[in-house]
Amino acid sequence: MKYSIDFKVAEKRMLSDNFFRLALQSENPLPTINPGQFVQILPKHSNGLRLPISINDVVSDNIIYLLIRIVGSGTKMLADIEQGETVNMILPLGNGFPMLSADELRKGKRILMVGGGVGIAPFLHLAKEYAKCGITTDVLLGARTEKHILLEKELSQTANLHIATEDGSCGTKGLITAHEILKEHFDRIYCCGPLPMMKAVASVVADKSKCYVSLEERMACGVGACLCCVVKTADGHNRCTCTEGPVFGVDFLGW
Amino acid sequence: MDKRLETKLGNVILKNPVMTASGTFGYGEEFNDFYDVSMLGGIVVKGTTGSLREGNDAPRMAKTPSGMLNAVGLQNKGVKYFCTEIYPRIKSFNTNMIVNVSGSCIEEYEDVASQINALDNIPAIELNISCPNVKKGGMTFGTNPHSAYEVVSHIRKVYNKHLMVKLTPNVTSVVEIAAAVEDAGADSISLINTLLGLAVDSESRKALLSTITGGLSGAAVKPIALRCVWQVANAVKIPVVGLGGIYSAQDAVEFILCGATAIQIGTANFINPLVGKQVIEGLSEYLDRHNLSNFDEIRGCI
Repeated sequence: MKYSIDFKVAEKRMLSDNFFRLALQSENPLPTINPGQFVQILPKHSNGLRLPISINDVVSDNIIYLLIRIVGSGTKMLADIEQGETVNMILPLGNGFPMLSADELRKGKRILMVGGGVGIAPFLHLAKEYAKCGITTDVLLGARTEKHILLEKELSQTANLHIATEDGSCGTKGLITAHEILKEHFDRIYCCGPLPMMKAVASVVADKSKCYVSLEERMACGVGACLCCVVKTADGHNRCTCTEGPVFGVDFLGW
Repeated sequence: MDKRLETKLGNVILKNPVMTASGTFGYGEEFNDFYDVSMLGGIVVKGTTGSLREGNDAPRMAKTPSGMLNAVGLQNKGVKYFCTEIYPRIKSFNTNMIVNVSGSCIEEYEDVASQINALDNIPAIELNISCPNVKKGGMTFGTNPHSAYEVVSHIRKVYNKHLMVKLTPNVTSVVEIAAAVEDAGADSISLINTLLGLAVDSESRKALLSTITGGLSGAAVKPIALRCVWQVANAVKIPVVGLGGIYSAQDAVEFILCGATAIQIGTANFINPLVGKQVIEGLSEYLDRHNLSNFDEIRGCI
């Protein structure tokens, strides 16, 4: 079930010039939200389209966190919102990250999440869900410089955090794909970030069938009606990122 | 249900004049979580062609000031799939399910229309001779009165229920095309389809759509749509269904004042999934506020 719900901005935190984080509170309890699902948020005063934003975290039963990078006019408009104001969102949308079952996890499985820049957003929620199952996951966070590292504190409280920066100002120096941890064995690898980075990660992982990526495409409706946000999969068909994704297996995409 | 909103579109009875536009509402199912879509006057489902179409490559959409461009290119699984897989799921919606029929040649239009003709719970088709996003067929039929006449008269022979024809505004005289379509036996005309447009990213120096050009829709096109509806409603005897930038009941009333019998909501569904329900409610409020017994009292008064 999808819902159109009004949320109150409980908190707005500017993280650096280009990033901000919103805590959004609904009056009533929210439906079940799986890590990797997204919302379609409507900036106030907008007569344009909604913005698809991945869910960063869900706290108690009525608060959602969004981590947003200001890139264009829509996200700029969204950044104008102040604490106490109301914003409408459609949620929960898309399929989240396929998680290993509790049975499988009892056998001591290892989980890695690879987030590039703001692509780290859905992994706080996912790491917390795995933590509830008693699994401490590994999270590899890549950024250009120390200034672009997001949610370091929150992530390190729930996962083993590894950091790579291009200029070496924090963690390992170099591209995220050069990080040593990618050579280790994992039973699931989740990746979210810029497309070239995800493709590069997919190309270095040992077993592609264990690797899932979260895609971002230009989107209008978010519910599978307009067919704007398609991605071509390995079988040659165009599929909606909103309803069949945004998380896809790397094998399914034919990467 | 407000009886005052009941509208006759030729031989089709609409509960109210509010329909949703093809390509913006899927098959109705996508929006049924938000409200009971059976309350709509009609749902025009996604453009359907003779066989499966993958549509155009991504990127297929771009935001533009007060609107958007799309270049989906009629992605659908073909008429056979519609009849066997989709129709059984949607036929129980208690509203007029209308199929948008597309093709690249007259034979393909005929094939689709005659297969849809056999479906009991589809009371009408919307013949799409106005899609700007396909290389063959589509808009090429709708930009010339002779070819528009030809395709509509062929379909008239194989389709015996309500035949609505969707026109493009990308012509010198929309009235000429409308007159040709009426002569060929159309039961109603819907307009406007999207306007051919182009969006550019100056930083990457590239067009924002894979196809370079695409169809413009949304609030930006409303004045053009109103002009087209007004011109056509004054020139033909068959009913006109207006669409283009309708986001509210107020917008819908503007189209009715320009002569529209019914309206379709398109792009607004993407912004507000409840817009259909809200427009219906707003139309009732309008009648109350203006002390009218129905919209016939003010239709076409511009």
